[in-house]
Amino acid sequence: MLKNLTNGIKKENPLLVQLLGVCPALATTTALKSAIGMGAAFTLVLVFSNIIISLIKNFIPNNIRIPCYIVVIASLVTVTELVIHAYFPATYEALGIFIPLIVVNCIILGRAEAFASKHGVFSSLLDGVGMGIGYTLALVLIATCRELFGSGTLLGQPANIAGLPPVLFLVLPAGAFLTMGFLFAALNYLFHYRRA
Amino acid sequence: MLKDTIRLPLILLIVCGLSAAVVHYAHEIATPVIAHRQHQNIIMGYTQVLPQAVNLEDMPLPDDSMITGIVRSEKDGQPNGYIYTVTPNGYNGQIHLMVGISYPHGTISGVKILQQTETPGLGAKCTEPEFLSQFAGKPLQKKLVVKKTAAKESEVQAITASTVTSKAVVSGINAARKHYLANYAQK
Amino acid sequence: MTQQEQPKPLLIISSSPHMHSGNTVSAAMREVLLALAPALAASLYYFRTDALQVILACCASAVIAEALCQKIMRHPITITDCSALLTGLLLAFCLPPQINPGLAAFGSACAIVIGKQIFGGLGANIFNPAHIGRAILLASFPAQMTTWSLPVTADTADAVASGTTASTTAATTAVTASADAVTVATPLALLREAGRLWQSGAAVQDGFLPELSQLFWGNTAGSLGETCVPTLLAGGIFLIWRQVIDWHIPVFYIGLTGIICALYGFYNNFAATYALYHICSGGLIIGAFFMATDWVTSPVTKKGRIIFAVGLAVITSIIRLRGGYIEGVCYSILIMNMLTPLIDRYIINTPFGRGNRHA
Repeated sequence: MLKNLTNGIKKENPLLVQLLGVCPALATTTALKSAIGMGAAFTLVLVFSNIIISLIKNFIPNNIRIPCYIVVIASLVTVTELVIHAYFPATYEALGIFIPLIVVNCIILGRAEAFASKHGVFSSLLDGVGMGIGYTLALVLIATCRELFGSGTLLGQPANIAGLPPVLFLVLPAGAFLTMGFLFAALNYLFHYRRA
Repeated sequence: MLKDTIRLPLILLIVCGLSAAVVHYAHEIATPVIAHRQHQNIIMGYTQVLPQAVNLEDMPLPDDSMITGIVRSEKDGQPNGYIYTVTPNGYNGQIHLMVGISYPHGTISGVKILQQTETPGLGAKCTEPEFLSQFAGKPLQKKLVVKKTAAKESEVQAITASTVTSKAVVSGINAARKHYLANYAQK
Repeated sequence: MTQQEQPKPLLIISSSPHMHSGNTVSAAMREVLLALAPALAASLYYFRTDALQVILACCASAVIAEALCQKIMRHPITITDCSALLTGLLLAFCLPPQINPGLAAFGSACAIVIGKQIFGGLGANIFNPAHIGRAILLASFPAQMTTWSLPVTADTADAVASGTTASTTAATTAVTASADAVTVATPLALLREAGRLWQSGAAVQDGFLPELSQLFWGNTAGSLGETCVPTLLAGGIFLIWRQVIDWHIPVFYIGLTGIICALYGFYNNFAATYALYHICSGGLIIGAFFMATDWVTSPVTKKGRIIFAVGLAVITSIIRLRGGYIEGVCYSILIMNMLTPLIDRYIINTPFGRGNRHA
């Protein structure tokens, strides 16, 4: 049971290992605040979509499962967007158009297809939480690098380490690719290459 | 067992119907909250860009302009300021901002960004006081221009690496300035 | 182009033993470094300690970054082939003299790590590493990268005069200097401003644009190594003579850029020297001889190289004449680097014995 939870954090981390959901990761990691917001919204949607899909899995015939999953996910995202817009306006401002884009985040459909449609409600819940935490952690890692070195701030507060001038490049889209590339390389080096 | 041609659409219909019902319910609850907050934001914005704002009254809009709202503030039957809502085109789409002009001095009393979709970390810095506070108190005689390093009173310090956004905001303010000078300014 | 070339032996096939011609990578790199020596001397003469600091920082950082990268990736360390040193020197030549040496070192490390080593090292890079470094610096530190100073040899009175005229007449552009620092606009920025004035029908004061001879000898504001035209020409011709580079890219690139600028100037009734100003200012000469001709990132065939050079000239001219940036050499070379594999794939020489071109 616990394995369902920890699986998504390290061994099958959606972003760092499976390289899923890269598009929102590139776009929302310019600042730590928006990365946390994105991670939270994503986790919420993933947990609920996993629960609902594992509940209705026996009711849905195999040949129309993908449209059904998409409808469920899209509705969840719409509801999430409305809730965030109504009750967390600051987060809504920061995330902008990226909330509706959770719909097309391949991790959610991927987990629905690969996990929730084959497992029970509780396992799916744990899987959703684990994957959500894993994705959020990865976003936080990237966003910390980019915000700290790219804008010289952290969570919007000035955090200039050792008086380095901010490297604006890292906040630009190309900097997102570079940061992710170097981060993945460093993690692979730490977890795989060095042990080999 | 029903035939697949009927069964499959039926199940899809049920799923869609339930989903639509949930979304509708959430929409019913959230919309008034959102509308209320947006209204509050506008009222708050008015007092932020024009501290002396009272007795607001809508003014006629010019055609063919980025000005989408003009409000006159009156005290004791005398206008004491105007608030313009302008929507210049930024880097990623329209920027909605409010410009307060105090009357009769004809200076900018404040600028507030209502809504923007600029790049986070770059153009989105236009909402920060570091950029916006420089507008307060600027006179309107001269057109404002964006500079990398502003020295003169009519010059505006650009946001680093976001010249397009900076120019967009300033073009919006200049549109308000032009309309104010043409219609309301004391000669 | 000459239509009737004398047939030459295309390939001499001989059996082993073969003798090494002595042409190694490091020998070629040393020749390029030698060709850059006059420009190095010129930049040291014009910008003195500023130049020395930036050049040392760039070269040291490039060599250290290369060694570190190769150590981490467990590759043989090849810093003795001078290619990293060359990248560092070329990058330094593209930087404004007053840039903080720390930033220059950072850019140089980026050039080696991002521009070269992560693609697999020498010979595997897609882009010109020095220009990758410059592009990253320009995107990261736009203010520092566009603050220019006059050479120490320039007349101070002149400097003040041109500085003030620039800041009063160029009020609408973002290229001018602030009041306190002794910074000026580059000739290209002044040229654009002059073009705007000509177009609006206003007269351009004498002394607004630098003298063409000053521009030619490099006594103007600009990047460290790009201002002094004769030293760069000498180096370029030396490399062509030594067959390190071939003449097609520089000649077509500079020639066509000149022609496009001349046509543009003619069409808009600009001064007759407009195209000459464009050729002599900015990074065109150094880019054409030393950056665009890089073996790794330019096409292999003669036809391919001509297409490459035409692309460079068109993109450079478009950026310079109509673009948001003032200088287009760096980006045009990066863009055409990207197209090099495509050019190499579709522009191939007719295999020996096929076709009827020489029938």
